[in-house]
Amino acid sequence: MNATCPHCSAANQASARFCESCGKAMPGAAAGPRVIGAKEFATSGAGRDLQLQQLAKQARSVTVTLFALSGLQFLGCVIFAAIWSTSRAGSQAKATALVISMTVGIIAVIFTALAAWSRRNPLPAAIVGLVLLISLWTIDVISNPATAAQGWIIKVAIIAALARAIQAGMKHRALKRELDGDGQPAFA
Amino acid sequence: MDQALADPRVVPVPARFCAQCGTPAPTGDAPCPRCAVRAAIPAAPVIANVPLNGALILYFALLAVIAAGFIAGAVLDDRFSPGAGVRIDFWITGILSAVTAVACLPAWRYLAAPLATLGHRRWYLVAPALSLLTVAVGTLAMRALGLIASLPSVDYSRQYLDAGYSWLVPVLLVAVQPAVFEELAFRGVIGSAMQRVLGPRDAVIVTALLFATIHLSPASFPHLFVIGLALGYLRHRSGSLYPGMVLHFCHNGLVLLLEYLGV
Repeated sequence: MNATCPHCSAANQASARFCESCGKAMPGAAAGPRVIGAKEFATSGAGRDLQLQQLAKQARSVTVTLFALSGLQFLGCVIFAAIWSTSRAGSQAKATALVISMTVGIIAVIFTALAAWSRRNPLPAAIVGLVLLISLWTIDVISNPATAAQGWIIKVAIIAALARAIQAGMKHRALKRELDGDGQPAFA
Repeated sequence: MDQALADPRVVPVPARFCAQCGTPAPTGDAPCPRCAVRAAIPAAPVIANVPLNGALILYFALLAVIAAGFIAGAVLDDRFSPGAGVRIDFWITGILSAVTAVACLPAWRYLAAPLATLGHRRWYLVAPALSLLTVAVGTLAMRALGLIASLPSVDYSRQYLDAGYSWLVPVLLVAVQPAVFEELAFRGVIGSAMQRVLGPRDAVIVTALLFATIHLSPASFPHLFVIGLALGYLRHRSGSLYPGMVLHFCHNGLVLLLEYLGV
């Protein structure tokens, strides 16, 4: 079955959306909505935009995790500062509490900075967050091996959340690069 | 039709347009370049994470060796002579160097260029000058933190001299080895992987943060991050790993010199 192009009168197939002879849109395609099947949706422009949005959302989920971690560290800093202020002056406990409070405070500031960075740029912040967290847990295990197994469920959950955000961020970047290199949209 | 084609006033136009997307298609039976490309893109992009995975594996391998060194030092030092701590240091330094060297092999095609070039000679003046700044920043940072809380004093050379070794040993282990192998690991393997994944600016920041983290010293983190930024900047601007090695060597060497002078 043939369709005639209204612009140049060339004969085209009935399923053609554009005239093969002059390249202008055929009336059948323009008149009704363009129906895309589920399989084609993934590779269409709208499908890829949706994928980009979903991946960006997953990557940004790292912000919540990093802010939560920084909140916990600040809490720890405040607790040790309280211990320092209430300890007997000149005691070993007082000096130790101050050092720990300062240390945890520095770590809290780092995590807050990472969380703020992740709002604009989630992937590098997630990578650094994951590495920093595992390194800190390593220091914990070295200084106090008995704490190795404490809270392992939460630790695994946090690592999984950060790893998922890194994966999503990498896919987002790769997909974006692919689409940017692919050229302009075909439809006017 | 033939007359129209033979007429020199007729401008030839593409004989075909793609019926699906309207893009001018090449003549003949060649497929539409746009539709063919779009059809070739898989629905779920398969991302090769190899560069990032390799960098993270190297980082965690180095971290594991350092952690093992700390644990061995804590366990063995109490029972044996003070020389045991130094021998553990030798082992750990050797293993770290070996791990880094092995990691350079799969990353060789990214390391070959920055290792093959020396970069402009001006970077070899900038590097020692920058090291004065980095040592000043580090010393001030530690003194400032020390005013707030009593931090344990760190002496990089004392344990080697006490064990009877000459000054050459701390120079090799504290100044030369980190300058070469930490630069190969961080600005080399990890830095090139981050650059491919994140772009140059984010790669310098992330590599500096990782560099500061692996030293496992929260009190030193701020100034180590600044030093890491300086090293990453040198690597990026010079295109070579050697100016960073010079800066690293000068920084660590100056720290040893200040220890020797008792400052």
